Amino acid sequence: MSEPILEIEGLDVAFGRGHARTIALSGAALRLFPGEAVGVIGESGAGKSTLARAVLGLAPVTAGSVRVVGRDVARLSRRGRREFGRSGVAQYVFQDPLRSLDPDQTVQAAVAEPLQIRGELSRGEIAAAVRAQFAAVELDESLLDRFPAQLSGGQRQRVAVARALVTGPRLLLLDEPVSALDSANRVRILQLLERLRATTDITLLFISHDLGSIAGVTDRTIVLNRGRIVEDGPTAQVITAPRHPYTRLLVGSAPTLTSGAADRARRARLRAELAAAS
Amino acid sequence: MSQAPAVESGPAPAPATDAHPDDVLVLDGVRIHDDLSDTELVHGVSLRLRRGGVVGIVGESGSGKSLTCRAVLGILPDLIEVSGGSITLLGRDTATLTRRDWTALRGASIGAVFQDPASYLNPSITVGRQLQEVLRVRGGLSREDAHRRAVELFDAVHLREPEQVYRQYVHELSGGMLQRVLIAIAISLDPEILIADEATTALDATVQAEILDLLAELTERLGLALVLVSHDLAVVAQLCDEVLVLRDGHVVEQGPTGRILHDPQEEYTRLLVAEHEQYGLERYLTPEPSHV
Repeated sequence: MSEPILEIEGLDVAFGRGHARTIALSGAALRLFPGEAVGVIGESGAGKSTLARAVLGLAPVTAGSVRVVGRDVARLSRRGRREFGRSGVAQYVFQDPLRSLDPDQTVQAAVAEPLQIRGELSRGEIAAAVRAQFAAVELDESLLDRFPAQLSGGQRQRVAVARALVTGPRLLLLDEPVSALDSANRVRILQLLERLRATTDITLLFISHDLGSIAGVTDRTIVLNRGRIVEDGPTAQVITAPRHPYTRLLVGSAPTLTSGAADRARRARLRAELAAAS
Repeated sequence: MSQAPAVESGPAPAPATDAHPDDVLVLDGVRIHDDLSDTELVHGVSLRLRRGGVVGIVGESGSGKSLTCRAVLGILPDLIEVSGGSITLLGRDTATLTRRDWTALRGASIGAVFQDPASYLNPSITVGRQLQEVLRVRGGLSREDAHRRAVELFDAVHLREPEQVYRQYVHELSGGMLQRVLIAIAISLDPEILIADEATTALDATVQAEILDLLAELTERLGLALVLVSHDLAVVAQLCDEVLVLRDGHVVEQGPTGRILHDPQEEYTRLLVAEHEQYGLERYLTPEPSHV
């Protein structure tokens, strides 16, 4: 078996000290292998964002390790973090591209920047790479000189994806990437990720509060509840045969086109089961 | 997707003329106009809601769904007005209502809850006091009766330990609890109609389901008629008898929920269904996609 792209072992993350100390993640362990698309689901406060921050090397890790392509990012020196960032091995897409993209930078410059920082390509090569990436995310070249505020939300998110992909990362971390988008753009981003998976061996870590989106792109799902991983299995199995009481309630709560009045009684039972288990 | 959406496709809703005694809300070809930019924002919405009935409105932001709700509540922003059609609220044409009539109707006949509950509550007064005040000032109850009724209402919306919640402040409660408080306030004067505009959107999935279940329960128990507005077809579909799909101010499609889900006529509605079937939980839950 190949080396894991992401390997988290015994990860504890805590914020604050003394009485204000909050355990955000406790004993988290997971491995992602090349080409896998893994979803992370949980309520707000369950530890999703903390997990994302840990993969970025930005969480106050109190125990355990976070290895991204073999390198422990949990305790990087300032220099180590800079080098890690510059390598472009792991890239990120967040919920709100209006906040993650520089408003004073054309989208062309935004997509070129990671390549310029890496400093391996000539100006012409970078321009060509940017155009190729624009085509890959189905953005028209006429948009190259626009600023983020001049694009629609869906176009902006595709710029963010293009910027993330331009360095050819091994790991792409997506934190609520479609939560702020309307239906058409949501489908478009999910299709794009699907295509990306079909054509590369990129590894995806897809964090969302919405089980529907996770079902759309992942083949494995991790369920976080109160800072702990309570379930980790094939997405189909997590949805059709959830084991943990929280997962059962989560699946029962997700709005689907097939849900109806009968589900109300079931949910009432599942809530009681979860309350009894915790 | 640039083709002109059909303005009145699908089975046309019955005109307002053959009024039914159980009708609590009838919209007939409602148009909403922005006088500042001189543009029409909503191009003819018709619907009818009966006592205890549930109508769903689905649309993205900018589709006109919230403007339609605001028109029904008589709270359109300045310079935006109903420019065509009619809204009949409990038998009264809202065009004839004075400011004073509206004040009397809101709360007592029609209530509403929106996406961000915290912004509708006063952070410096306990949530119980805020409900008690409504019951006292609008409901004419004495201080003690209003307190007692407030606790009952908190209990009715399934806030655990209602007496304790009564004494709590906004910052001490979760988003789901705050939305329950807002629902308690909205139903406190026994209105006939409740409008829930993206009322569960900002909530976690399990909490969203709790609030939707509560709304379903209230329609059954109190005979409350509900207008449920969401960007998510699945949220609306599970509660509603009839669904309107709005896009750019046009009713793209309208009809019984079952038909909209299983036999959508318009491309946009098909997209909303496909979003779930291809990129949603339904991939695993439904054995074979029945359409698209």
